[in-house]
Amino acid sequence: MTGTSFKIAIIGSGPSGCFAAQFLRKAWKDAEITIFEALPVPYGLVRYGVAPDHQGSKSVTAQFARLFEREGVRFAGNVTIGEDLTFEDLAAAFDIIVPATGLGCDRRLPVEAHPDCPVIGAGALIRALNGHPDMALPAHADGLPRPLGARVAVVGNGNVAMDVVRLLAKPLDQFGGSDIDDTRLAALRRRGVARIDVFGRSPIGAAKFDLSMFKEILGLANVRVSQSGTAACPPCDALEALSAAEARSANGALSIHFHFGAQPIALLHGPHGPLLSVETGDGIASHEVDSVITALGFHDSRPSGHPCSAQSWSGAQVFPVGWLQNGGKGTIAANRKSAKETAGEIAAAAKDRHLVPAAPGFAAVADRIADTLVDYEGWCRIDAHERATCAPGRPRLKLTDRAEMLAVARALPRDADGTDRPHAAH
Amino acid sequence: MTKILFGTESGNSEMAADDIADFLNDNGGEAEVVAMEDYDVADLAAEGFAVVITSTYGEGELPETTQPFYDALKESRPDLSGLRFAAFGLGDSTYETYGNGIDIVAALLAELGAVQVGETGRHDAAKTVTLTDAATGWAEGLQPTLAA
Ligand SMILES: Cc1cc2nc3c(=O)[nH]c(=O)nc-3n(C[C@H](O)[C@H](O)[C@H](O)COP(=O)(O)OP(=O)(O)OC[C@H]3O[C@@H](n4cnc5c(N)ncnc54)[C@H](O)[C@@H]3O)c2cc1C
Ligand SMILES: Cc1cc2nc3c(=O)[nH]c(=O)nc-3n(C[C@H](O)[C@H](O)[C@H](O)COP(=O)(O)O)c2cc1C
Repeated sequence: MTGTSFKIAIIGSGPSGCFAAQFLRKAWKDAEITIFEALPVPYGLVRYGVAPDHQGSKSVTAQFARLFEREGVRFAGNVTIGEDLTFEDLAAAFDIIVPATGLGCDRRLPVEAHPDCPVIGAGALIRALNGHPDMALPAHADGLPRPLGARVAVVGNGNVAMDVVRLLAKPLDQFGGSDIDDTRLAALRRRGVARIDVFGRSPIGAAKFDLSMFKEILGLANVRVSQSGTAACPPCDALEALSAAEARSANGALSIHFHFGAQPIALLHGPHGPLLSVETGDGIASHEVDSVITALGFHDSRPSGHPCSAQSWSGAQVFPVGWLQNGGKGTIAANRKSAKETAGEIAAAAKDRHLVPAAPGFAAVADRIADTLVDYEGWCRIDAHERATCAPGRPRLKLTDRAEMLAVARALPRDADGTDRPHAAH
Repeated sequence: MTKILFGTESGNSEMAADDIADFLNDNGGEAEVVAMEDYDVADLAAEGFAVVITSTYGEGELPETTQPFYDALKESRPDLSGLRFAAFGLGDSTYETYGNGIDIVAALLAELGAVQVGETGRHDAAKTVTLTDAATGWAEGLQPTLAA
């Protein structure tokens, strides 16, 4: 019985995909809605972007869980569109397609690589600290990330940059209520981060961070704050908070220096090691660094034409949402707003009969993904496992190994000590 | 029909509104959820009883979809002396201005003559109590007051 209700495929289970499902469900009680997700676990950057010590911001997942538990939305996890199914497969099976794949890649700083000073994207760093299964940081043979060293430069002045500074500065014993990957955090900070230089292009009054994010750093008991580049700036809330922190924090063991109106231009070989060369209104200065972390926004890592690149997913039935659609701007709430607008456009297109229910829906692709699929029950098993295995006070201990995630999702037999049998992983 | 009015940015207040409506409807009431952005404040004086729900944003400010509702009330200043209301607020105690949003809205309703019933309910996103538990627990506590 096709042709009676819309069959909708949403690609990506981050906030924009989940909010789109919410609004489409409100528009059509009877639509068949499937959310395809490349990972075996849902929620995109809510799980792997939002900082692990900001659990309050992760609590939107309760809304999204309701979609799968009560609203009849299907979770089709561990299915990458472009690999496990092609976009063309989806286009044939569904009436409406909503790409919500986000932007997976950190925007790079245009400096030449340096053998002794890794340049790491903030998204990759926070993904690792959020326990992502594909860790993309410079690593030792044992899989643990290399220490960042004592002197870390953070480039960028948005909220993601502030997340990085806080995660690297806050005492290790103050991550109590978080679900941070303690092992990776300790490995990254093993040499002891002693100094963080934060470089922002704008003057302080135009810096993109939220004041509350900035104040959270200024309020850390163990830091000594200093700054440059604000002499000519008119008073603003951020400057007031910074000046107050500067005055009271002289004894902190970890030094954080905020450079405003400062743009890194090159990574050089200095006599004692790597030097980050930075241009300011006063000329060019060099800073000794052991690692550079860039928080300069995000882009699509895949060239257009790549089967997984959403750039090549187009047609009258295709309605992109979220970071993919807007170039990586905005908070979780902004995605709700844009998903609402897009759902409105979809409903209007249906009203004008530009979209007509005719496609067979999920049943037409089910067989092809039966072997890889992790459904909502599978995710619930991972979720329960993560909640059961964490230390007291922690919300969860994330599984970081894909094979283990799949074994738990499929409830494959596990040895008494809790580890997987080698053959059970696939 | 009890109107449950919510203002939100990331949808949590809407979920709280749904939960409170479900609870009231399951317990002999008749409740309907309406977004503040879709609500005409001229209708408020005649509601008799309403539940208002909002989160907090910025530095203790109202979320984007509560602000127009608040501004419209402030502008038109209806006589709300015939209205009773209950209030539930969402926030995050890691912010200095925890849960300010609902206090701002409740204060304006009171200023316009409305009478608040029960305690202002609260959900703290930084704590482990789920939103559903906080919202339905509050609605349960509210019931005797409503019946009185
Ligand atoms: C470090 C960091 C911290 C942040 N902190 C906050 C915060 O505290 N508060 C806040 O409001 N916002 C925060 N944000 C912003 C917020 O995360 C984004 O606004 C939001 O996640 C974007 O949603 P999205 O659904 O468009 O993309 P994403 O959340 O990236 O979701 C995309 C999903 O699509 C999946 N996918 C990709 N390609 C495919 C494919 N081919 N097939 C199937 N699935 C695919 C991905 O695996 C992913 O799950 C933060 C962002 C970052 C990077
Ligand atoms: C940018 C931002 C600012 C916030 N500011 C505050 C605040 O000042 N006080 C507070 O109690 N909560 C604050 N919060 C937390 C929200 O109120 C909380 O997450 C709430 O559950 C959101 O509900 P909503 O989805 O209905 O908007 C803030 C959240 C964000 C993302």
